[in-house]
Amino acid sequence: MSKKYLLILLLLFSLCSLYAVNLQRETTFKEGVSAFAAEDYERSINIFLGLMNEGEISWELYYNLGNAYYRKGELGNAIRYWEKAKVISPSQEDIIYNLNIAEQRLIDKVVLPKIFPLFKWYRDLRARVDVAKFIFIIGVLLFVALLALAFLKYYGKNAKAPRKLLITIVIVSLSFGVILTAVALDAGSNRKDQHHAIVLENTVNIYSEPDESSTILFILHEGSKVKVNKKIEDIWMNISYFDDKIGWIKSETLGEIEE
Amino acid sequence: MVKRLNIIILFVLAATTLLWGQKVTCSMSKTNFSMQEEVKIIFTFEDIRNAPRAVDLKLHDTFSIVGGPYSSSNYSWVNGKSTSTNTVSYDLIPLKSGKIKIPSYEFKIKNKVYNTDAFSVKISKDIVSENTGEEDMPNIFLRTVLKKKEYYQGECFTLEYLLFTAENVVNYTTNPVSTLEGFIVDEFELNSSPVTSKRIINGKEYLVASIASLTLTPTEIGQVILPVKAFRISLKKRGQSRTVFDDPFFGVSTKDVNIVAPIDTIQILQLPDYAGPSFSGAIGEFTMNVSIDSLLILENQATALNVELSGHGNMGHFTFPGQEFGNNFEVFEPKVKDNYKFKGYDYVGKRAWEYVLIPSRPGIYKFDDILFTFFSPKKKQYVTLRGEVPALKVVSHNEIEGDYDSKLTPEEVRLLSKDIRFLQMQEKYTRSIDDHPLENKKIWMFFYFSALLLVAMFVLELNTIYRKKHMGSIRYRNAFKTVIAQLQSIDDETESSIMLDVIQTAFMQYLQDKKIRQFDYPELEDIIKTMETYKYAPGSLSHAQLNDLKDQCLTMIEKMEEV
Repeated sequence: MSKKYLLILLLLFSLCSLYAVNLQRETTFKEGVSAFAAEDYERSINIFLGLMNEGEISWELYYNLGNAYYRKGELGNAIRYWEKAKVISPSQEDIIYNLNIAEQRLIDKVVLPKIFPLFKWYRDLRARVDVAKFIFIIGVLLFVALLALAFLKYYGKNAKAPRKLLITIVIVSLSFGVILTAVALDAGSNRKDQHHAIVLENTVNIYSEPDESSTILFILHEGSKVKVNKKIEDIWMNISYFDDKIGWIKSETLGEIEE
Repeated sequence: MVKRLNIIILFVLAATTLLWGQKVTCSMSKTNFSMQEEVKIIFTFEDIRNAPRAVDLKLHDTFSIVGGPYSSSNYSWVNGKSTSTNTVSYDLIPLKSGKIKIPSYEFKIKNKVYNTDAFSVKISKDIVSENTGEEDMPNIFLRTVLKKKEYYQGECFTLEYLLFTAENVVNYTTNPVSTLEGFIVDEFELNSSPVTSKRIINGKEYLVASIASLTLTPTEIGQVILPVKAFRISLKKRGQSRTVFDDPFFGVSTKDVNIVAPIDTIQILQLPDYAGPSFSGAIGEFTMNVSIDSLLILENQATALNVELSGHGNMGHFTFPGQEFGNNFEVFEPKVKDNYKFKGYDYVGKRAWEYVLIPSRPGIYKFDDILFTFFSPKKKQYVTLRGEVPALKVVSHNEIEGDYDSKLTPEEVRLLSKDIRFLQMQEKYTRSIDDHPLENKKIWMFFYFSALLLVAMFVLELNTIYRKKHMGSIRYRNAFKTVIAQLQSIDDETESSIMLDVIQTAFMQYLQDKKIRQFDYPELEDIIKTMETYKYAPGSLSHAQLNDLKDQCLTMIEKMEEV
């Protein structure tokens, strides 16, 4: 009997501890917001970074870090953390809006060739796809379609059964499911193995080889987003800038987006 | 006690008498007149102290106020009792014809409310020839017209000179006005070809023409008497058949008369207290537009910040408030572009300031909003306009080389002037930094349900197939259970025909399921025959007979089961 009570007490204690940890995190998060509101951006950044180092992350945390860095005047870090937030929640309007604003302040600006509007629309849609959400929706659609199919099979012969409705549910659910699956697969494969980073320093040189004495191929400025192809001992990174420019950059000048 | 009561009664009587005489009436000099006639609206305040000197007529849609307010007072003593009458009147010209209702006016004087009676007047389109003979009107006279009687210091206004004539006017001249104490003379214009209209005053027909206008900006406050202005009017001598405003050089003999415009008094009000640093004397109604010629420029390249004010008011009498652009810009004195003209009673148009900015260093520059404050006489308060200055991007010569494109799309230009969105106030969902979002089991939940459903359907389908395939053996196995269940379902309450039917069907089904033929058991024939016989008269059968048959069947089944 006493063992049972002990077990219950232990469980209650664990629950209370978990609640206290969550409460502590919420309070700290609000402290970061207050520091930001008081224009103490340095403190706000430290608080949010402290929360991040605890091992728990959220898009809101990264987003706020981005805002604090932006206000502090560190455009590169601002873009880096907004991009990190976008990885977690690609369809968040606030993140996209801030990234668009930051993009206008970039010195490096490449105009991509114009593409057919439908393709552009699809590319934008794909970029905003939250694969996890899509998987959940596809699951729901599949379940609904199967449920309707089961009803149709076992009760379809009943005169009162809404056969037309059930058939419509099956067709619509499956059609949407197929479309969403295709989009999610495309978005997933597009992001898979993608590794990006943001230039954090005002001006950085891109070399032809992982050697500072090699030829400088081009220059990039703070906030530019590059694709990381490979790394050499965390000192040098081979990067692509808009696919057509490839070179070597010192790792310390970049902030990686995907961990 | 009686004496005190008498005093109170006397006091009440005196007060009642006094109040009885107090009233306000509204009347018009005529109740039936034409569109071309000038009429007078008169408010009479009888035995009322502190009567108002002006009235809000609320007749803007139907009448134009050409004169007034004129006020007069009259005191008289009759039989030792004093009476007073104050009048306020306005000169009106009708704007439309028909039956016009003059509303009831309410006056609140010393916490007492007085109402006038509403009445109607009839305005005809044609001239009504009505000679009241009240007044001997002159053949020619001048009147001044002002939009209102109170102006703010610095507010532009125009005084219009109207000539009323029953004579043939050939020409008119006057000395120009260039300076006037207490005013800035904006413009004095002698109208050489005025538009004329007919108007009847006290039964006399006049031609009316606006012959001059004087636009002023008051610089001092207080009650100001507008200057007397004299005009020399050349009139055609009687007997010559020439039309009004004919060419004076066409050999018409004339006589000259000097006419003086009446004295007019206006009140110049002081502007309310200090409005802020962005007020530089603008009075009127304005809107502001701010733009930059180019949002992306090279260092040491010039761009222009344009601030444009549109509206009406004392254009030309104010400067633009000073703007700060920081140390990284060389800024020249703004170039002022004026595009306004006098229209009606005010200056209408645009005034623009162009600031030429030359940046010395690359970077992205966000300027403070441009503020401009003006005083609105209509609202009687200061209004501050705020113009957002788009951000300016300055790049070095090195940066703009190569693939870099300097063109900005309209959407990009819009974004340049915007700020980021505010922080998120709380975290809705957190996850471990090491977890992959797709590893979250919740998102796969419905796939598990779907799989379970599929498995269930598959099992059911397999069962159906199995049953179809082994129907004979299943029925063979279940024959005994089925027949017992069916036979047990009947009791004494069951109708005899139904009872027979159930017994026969159950038994025959059992034989079929067990694949037993009639000749396998000789006793079977008797039972079947009995059933066949009973079928011909099921209604006449007793429950005892049927129970007997049922028992026979059960005995037979037991026997067959044993085998």
